[in-house]
Amino acid sequence: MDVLRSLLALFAAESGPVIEDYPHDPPATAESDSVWSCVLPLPPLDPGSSPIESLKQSLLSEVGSLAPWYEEALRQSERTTFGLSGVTADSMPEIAAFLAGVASGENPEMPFGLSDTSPGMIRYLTEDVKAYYMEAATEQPGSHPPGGTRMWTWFYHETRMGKVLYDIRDRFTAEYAKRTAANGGQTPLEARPINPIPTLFTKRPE
Amino acid sequence: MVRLTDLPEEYAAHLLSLPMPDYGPTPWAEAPDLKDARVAIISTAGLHRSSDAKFYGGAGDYRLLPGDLDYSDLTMSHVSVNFDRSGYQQDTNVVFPLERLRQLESDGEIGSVAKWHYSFMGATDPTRMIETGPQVAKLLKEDNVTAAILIPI
Repeated sequence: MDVLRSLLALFAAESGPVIEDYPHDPPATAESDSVWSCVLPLPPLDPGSSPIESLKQSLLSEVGSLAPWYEEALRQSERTTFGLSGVTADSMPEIAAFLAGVASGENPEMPFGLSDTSPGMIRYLTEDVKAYYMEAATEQPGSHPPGGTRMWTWFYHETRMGKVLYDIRDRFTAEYAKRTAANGGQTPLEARPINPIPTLFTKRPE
Repeated sequence: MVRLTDLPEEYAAHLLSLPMPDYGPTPWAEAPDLKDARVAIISTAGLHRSSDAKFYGGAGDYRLLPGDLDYSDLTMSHVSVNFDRSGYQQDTNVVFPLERLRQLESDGEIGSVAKWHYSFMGATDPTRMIETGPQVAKLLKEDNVTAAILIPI
C-alpha cells in the first residue's frame, strides 16, 4: 500500500518530468535469501538418471509431499496462479507423470483432455508446475518467502521436478541439433526447441 | 521497480542495451486532486481473465480487466522462462494493485476506481502498440478516468 500511496503522491507535482526513487528496500534481500531453505519434507534426490517408472514414482512422491502445503497456501490466500494450461491443480499427478515421460524420451499423449498438443503447451504446464511448487514453498512454516532468485535455485537445483525440466531441455536441444544436422547444418524452419530453464540457470547443478 | 544494481549482471546489461525510443516532448498535464480522481491501472504483466485468449510473445494487443475482477479469475500468460513470477505468486497486487485501489477508494483517498483496466504483454516492442495505445486512451476517456497508473512488468 505504501508503494501505491508514494506513487499517487507524485500526482501532486506541479511540473515535470517527475522521477523519484522509492526509498525502501524489498523485504527479501540477498542476505535473508542466503539463509532460506525449504523445510518441506521432500524425498532425497538420487544422483544420475533413473529408469522411467522409478522417475515417475519419485516425482509423484515429491508432488505428494508438496500437496498439503499447496492446499494450505490456497486456503490462506484464496487464490492461485496455477491454471495457465487450462487444468486445475488436481491434475498435478498427471502433469508430473506426463513431464517425466517427456524427460525420459517418451512421447506421451497430452493428458487431461487438453486439446492443445503444441510444444508450447509444455511451457504452460511448466509455469503451472512452478506455481504449484513455489506457492507450496511460500506457505512453509517458520520463514518468510525468499526473493525470486533463491526460490528459482530451490526449484531448479534442489527438486526432482527441476531435474526433470533440465532433462526435457536436453532432450529437445539434442533432437533439434539432429534435425539441424540432417538439414545440412541449416537450422530448420520450425520454431526453436522449448527450453524451460532460465538463462541464469543454464548450467546444471553439480 | 527493481534497481539495476540489484539485478543479476547479465539482466542489467541486457536492459541497458535496449534501444530507447524517442517519442518527442510530452506536454505537462496537471493532475486532478486525488480525492476526486478516477483511477485506472494499465499493466504490462500479460494478465487476463481465464476465459480470454492468451497473449503470445511480442503481442501488441490488450485485454480488458473489469474493476470488479475477482483475482481468482486472473491468469498471466507471459511465459518467458526468464520472467520472475515469484512476486506475483505471493501477492497479485505487486503487478496489478486493484485490491489496494479499492481500499483507497473505500478510505476516501481517491475518488473512484475505473470500470475497466487494461493489460498488455510485457517485453513487446512499443511500436507494436501504436494503434492499440490510442484506443486505450480513448476508452479511458469514455470511462471518465482522470489518472492512470502504468505498471511496467
